[in-house]
Amino acid sequence: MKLVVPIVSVEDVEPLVKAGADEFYCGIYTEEFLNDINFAICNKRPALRMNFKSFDDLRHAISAAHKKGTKVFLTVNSLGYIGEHYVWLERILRESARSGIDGFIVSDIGMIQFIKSLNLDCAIQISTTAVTYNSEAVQFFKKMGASRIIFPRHISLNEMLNTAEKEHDIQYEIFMLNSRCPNEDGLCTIEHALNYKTNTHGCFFNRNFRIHSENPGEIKYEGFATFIQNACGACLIPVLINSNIQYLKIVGREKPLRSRVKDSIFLKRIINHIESDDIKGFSNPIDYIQNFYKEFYKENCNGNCYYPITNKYK
Amino acid sequence: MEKALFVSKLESIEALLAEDMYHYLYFGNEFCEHLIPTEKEVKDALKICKNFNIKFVLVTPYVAEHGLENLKKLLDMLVEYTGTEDFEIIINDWGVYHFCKQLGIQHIIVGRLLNKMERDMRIEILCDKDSGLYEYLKSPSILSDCNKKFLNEVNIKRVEFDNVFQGINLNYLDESLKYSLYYPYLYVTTSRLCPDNSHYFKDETCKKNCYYNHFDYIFQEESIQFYVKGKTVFARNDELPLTYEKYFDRLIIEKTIPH
Repeated sequence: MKLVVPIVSVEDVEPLVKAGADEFYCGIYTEEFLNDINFAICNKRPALRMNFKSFDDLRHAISAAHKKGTKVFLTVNSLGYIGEHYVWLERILRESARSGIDGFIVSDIGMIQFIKSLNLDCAIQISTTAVTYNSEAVQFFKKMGASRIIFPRHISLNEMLNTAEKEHDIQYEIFMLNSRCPNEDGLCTIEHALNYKTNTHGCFFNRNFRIHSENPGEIKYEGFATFIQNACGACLIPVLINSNIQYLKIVGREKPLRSRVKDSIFLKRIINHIESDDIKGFSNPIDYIQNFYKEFYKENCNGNCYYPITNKYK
Repeated sequence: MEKALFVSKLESIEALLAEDMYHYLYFGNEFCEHLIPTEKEVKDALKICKNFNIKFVLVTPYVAEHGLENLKKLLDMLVEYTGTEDFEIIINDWGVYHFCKQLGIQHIIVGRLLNKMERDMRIEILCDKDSGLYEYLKSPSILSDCNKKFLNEVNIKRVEFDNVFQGINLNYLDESLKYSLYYPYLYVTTSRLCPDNSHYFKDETCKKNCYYNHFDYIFQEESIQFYVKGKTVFARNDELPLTYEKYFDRLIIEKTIPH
């Protein structure tokens, strides 16, 4: 199994490779874009601190990663782009390809077509925001040239296994750690970058609100939305080990390097132990993982599972 | 201007259809695979369409494998029953599109879940109207040149829109396609985490509580009112764009939140 980890600078590469990263993903968002088109069009994380800030930085990071045998993929996964953006997008795509990027993570159909039209010899991965929940959708994207499907966050274990079994001639990736929003990424139309420079507005579910009942004046509930949970999918690793879902993504381009390193070490150790069937005397791999979680993070597993395991797979 | 009535239940449908001159009946659900109509419901809807001399449009949700299997059975039946040309289908999942093509279904329409325009009503309150961001948020990316080229290549002729608060840059709506507008409810966000239960995680059968019972909420955030129905948050916009009739040739009326 391979661990896919976010980077935002060249300094991230070495410590994350040491921690167990097998692949990197990133975005680019330069001051030049900010000044010229006045909006973060590049990807679903439109903030400077979550992206490479220059093509030079990106080139150095790709070079450093390749020296370690690690591929780098660039997110261009906004839900959509419009006419004037394509001038900038072409530059991003061509410059990244020249810098040695291994592929692009894409959501919009038009964007996939556009990348293909540039003949860049880079892989196309289908972003989680493309909402690929079924084998017909996998076939559709495969015909468009996709080499990997990144499943949506809200897919269940049973659903991902069924789809991956039906369409096995393609790579699959799932999210493993951190942000899990109650809304479906690719179908949520809440604008997170209304103040693009500070990225402060975010989601309106980030604040408490009231649910009114049908009786005037009566409040049924306050503070309904849970917003983002720090979810974990580590208990899936023993279930997926023999499936063709082999890429596990750590979410969190916004997180400090030390946190991404820690998460990478955590998951890599579990992968290594499960792959070598070394679960230190535990009869059940899930008991081993939950115990290791407690030992590693110094807190109990909080039960916020990305993909809760049903009895069938325990 | 064509008019369509959008319903998810057939209760009182005759009375609703009698209220106005409709050309289409939109029937189905966009947000939940557990609410795909049954074969009987679709046959009943087809009979009603025949009685009122209006056309049938099946509205479909995004689906995982289980929902896909149900939808495939339903579409096989529909094609057998009516042929491939006598109905339209709203797709909100490219996998469903892919299957429809294999069946030879002729009239495939891009639904509003595949039209990624932001529906965040704070845009009107918080966004600088002279900014590039505001222009972007008014522009439908589904109608970018690359997307239009794709839609033309695969013979899709219609794209559907929500009546977003920030307005739609109508210059994108050229004659290469036709356009429909949902009115007055627009969807804001949706989820697969069901507030009723987490059945999809547990592989349990859905009891359709949100469908059979009044499982809906209204909540207020600052001055904005939202409606939660099942797993989806809606808002309501009663103001139609000023010159909408010049660009949209079909208005899809939602008498209630379509769920």
